[in-house]
Amino acid sequence: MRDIRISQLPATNFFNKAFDRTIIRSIILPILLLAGTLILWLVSIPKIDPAKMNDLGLISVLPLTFIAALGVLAISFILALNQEKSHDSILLLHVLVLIFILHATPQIVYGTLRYSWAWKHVGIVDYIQRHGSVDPTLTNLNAYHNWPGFFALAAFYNVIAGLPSSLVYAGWGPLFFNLIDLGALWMIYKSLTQDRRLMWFSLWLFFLFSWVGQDYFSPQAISYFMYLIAIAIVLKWFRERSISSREDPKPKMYFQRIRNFYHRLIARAAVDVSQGKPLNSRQRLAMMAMMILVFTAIASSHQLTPLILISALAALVIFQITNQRYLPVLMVVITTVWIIFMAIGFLNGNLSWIVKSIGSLLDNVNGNLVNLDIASPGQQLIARIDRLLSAAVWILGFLGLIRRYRSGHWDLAAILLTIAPIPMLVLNSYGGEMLFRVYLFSLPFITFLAAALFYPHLQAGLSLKTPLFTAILSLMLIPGFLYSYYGKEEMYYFSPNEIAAAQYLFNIAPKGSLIVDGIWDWPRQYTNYEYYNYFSIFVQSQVEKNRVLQNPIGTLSNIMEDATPGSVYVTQTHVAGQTENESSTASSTDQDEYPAAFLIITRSQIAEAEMTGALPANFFSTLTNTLPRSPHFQVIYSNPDATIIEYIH
Amino acid sequence: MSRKLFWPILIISSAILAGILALSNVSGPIRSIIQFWFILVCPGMAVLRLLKIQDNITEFVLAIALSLIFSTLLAEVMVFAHLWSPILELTILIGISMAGAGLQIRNTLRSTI
Repeated sequence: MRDIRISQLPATNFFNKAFDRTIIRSIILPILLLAGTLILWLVSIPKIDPAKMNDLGLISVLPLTFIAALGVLAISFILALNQEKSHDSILLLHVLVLIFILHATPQIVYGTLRYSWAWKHVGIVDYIQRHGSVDPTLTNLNAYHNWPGFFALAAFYNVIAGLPSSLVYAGWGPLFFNLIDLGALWMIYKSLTQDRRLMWFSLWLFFLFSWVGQDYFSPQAISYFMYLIAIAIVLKWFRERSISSREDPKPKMYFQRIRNFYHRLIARAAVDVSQGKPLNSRQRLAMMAMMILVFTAIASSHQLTPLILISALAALVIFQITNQRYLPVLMVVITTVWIIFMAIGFLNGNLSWIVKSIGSLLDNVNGNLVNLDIASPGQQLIARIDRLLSAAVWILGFLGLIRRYRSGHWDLAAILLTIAPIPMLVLNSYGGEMLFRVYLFSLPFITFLAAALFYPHLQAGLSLKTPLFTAILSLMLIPGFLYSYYGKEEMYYFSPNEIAAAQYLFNIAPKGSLIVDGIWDWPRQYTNYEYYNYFSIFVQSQVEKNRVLQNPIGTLSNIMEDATPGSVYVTQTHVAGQTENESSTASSTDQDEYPAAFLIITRSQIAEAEMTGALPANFFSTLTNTLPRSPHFQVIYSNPDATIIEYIH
Repeated sequence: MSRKLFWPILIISSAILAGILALSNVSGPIRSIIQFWFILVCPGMAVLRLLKIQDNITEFVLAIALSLIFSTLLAEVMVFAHLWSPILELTILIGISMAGAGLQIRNTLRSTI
């Protein structure tokens, strides 16, 4: 349309008009606004002091200029998106800036690795770097030794890059993984629609709804990328393109009606297949080989992702979205072979609780939700925003599906891939994370349907209403994301003082020492992790926790001295979503007495106790005030954010 | 022709640089960045460009995935087989990159003759 109008203009006006409208609106204005975004963000950075965070997380210390930067970015993106001639490169720049601001800011501001699990992952890489192997028989963090793909990759990189540890770069994990996910998502959305606005708005929404924070330095982050790649390859090159109608014209039996309904579903979906250039036989063979490699990398790197991929592929095969019917079988075979031959040790030690949790849908779901009764007011608000954000994307997705269907599009692939992870909720709670994982794996497809609410077909969204509504939605999602994604930063952040304390502890603690903490939320296990026995008080029974609080000296003396196998205390180690119990006398030492025992208390542990209610509010102050009165406990290290107390035999 | 040779030349240069840096005592961000670039893109791009997918972005995204897969699976085999040798793994990756880039150059030269 626009080209016709331009061609009709008098020659003298052509450049003025074209420059005025096309260049200014679609290139110059967005670039100026992007520059404004970056200036506002740069101005914000020095003003952010993570030490002043409260239980609302990072947003409590973000200056208004930071929020304004994201607001300007959102307006600019919506303006650029709704131009008659929008440029992919300009839209890409917006999404890149969004990812950069959201995921580089914590690392730039903190300067330290956030989130205790990332530190543990650094510890597994450190183990491989030192030993050149894994030990699947280790009881502590043993799932990682059975699925070591990600850690082996990081250890390899450390050696060839001359790095002593992954600590140097692990903090940039969220930025890296979101950037590579962007590429895979681009492939997926391009396969789902030919409407560029729908594709770009889906990408935009994905990153604003992706609040669950599984993008840190972790095996699940790289497996998620591989999952997206596998789905992208299937949707792009292994689509069923011609489905002949096999409807029974006169269905008599109930099952014949169901069969007809099924055939109507798949026949209608086939109409919407984005017609890319088909592969020749050589390319097809190569893509199949690549799929096998992707499957193997996923099966050997993570426990949950293969199961979700099997579910997704099975759904795509059952509803004839793909013509490669053996794909789910292939993935089942690769996963089974891995578990039987490489991860049998893990399965033997954990089979009982895995079987027990199968089918406990309510327990598995409830185990994922924050207990609002004991959480701090800030965390109660964050939890409600999390739930609101999650509900919002599903409601928008549902409405988008209806609007798109009424516009003549039937996005069966997106619907199936949204639903495919849900059966995992029946399997187990995955250490209280399954609901978040299901949300994460559904997200690319539900955000596509949500974006389709605004861009249901190529001719839609040309009025002023669409930019207005999409801008309002984006402006509402920005604070929502900031609360949800950054909402636990007070406990995820580790100050330089906390890290100095952890470093001191690992420097002086002899091999075989017992290291006790209130909560495992500190820079734990990142170096020589197999040398030590770890004990966390908050995973003990309520009776034991009360006992520690009522009689800290006596109870902790028992814990820190007792090395008798079969002790009443257990160390619960959360391993990649599973929970494994092990004797307090961990298996790395066979001695009767620990060579040394330490209690470490850090700011982040206190923050977590206050935020989640995992331990009573006065728990840590009681320990630090009471223990030094005993000759058996000596404060050996203290700074404003951490205290280390040694037990003297 | 020069545009078609861009990637193979970049891959070969990166592979040579990665090998030299791994064997040298050089340390610091330059080494980390070059090794990162090499293992993230080069082996995958060397193989994928032989398929002539003709979509630059798709090719680049898949190259990242394939490169990460090569490095991950090789490292994993070495770890489980107690044959840990990052230099050997790097040599294999350099070999894949060189072979792929070499074939790309050969194909380009053949098509221009």
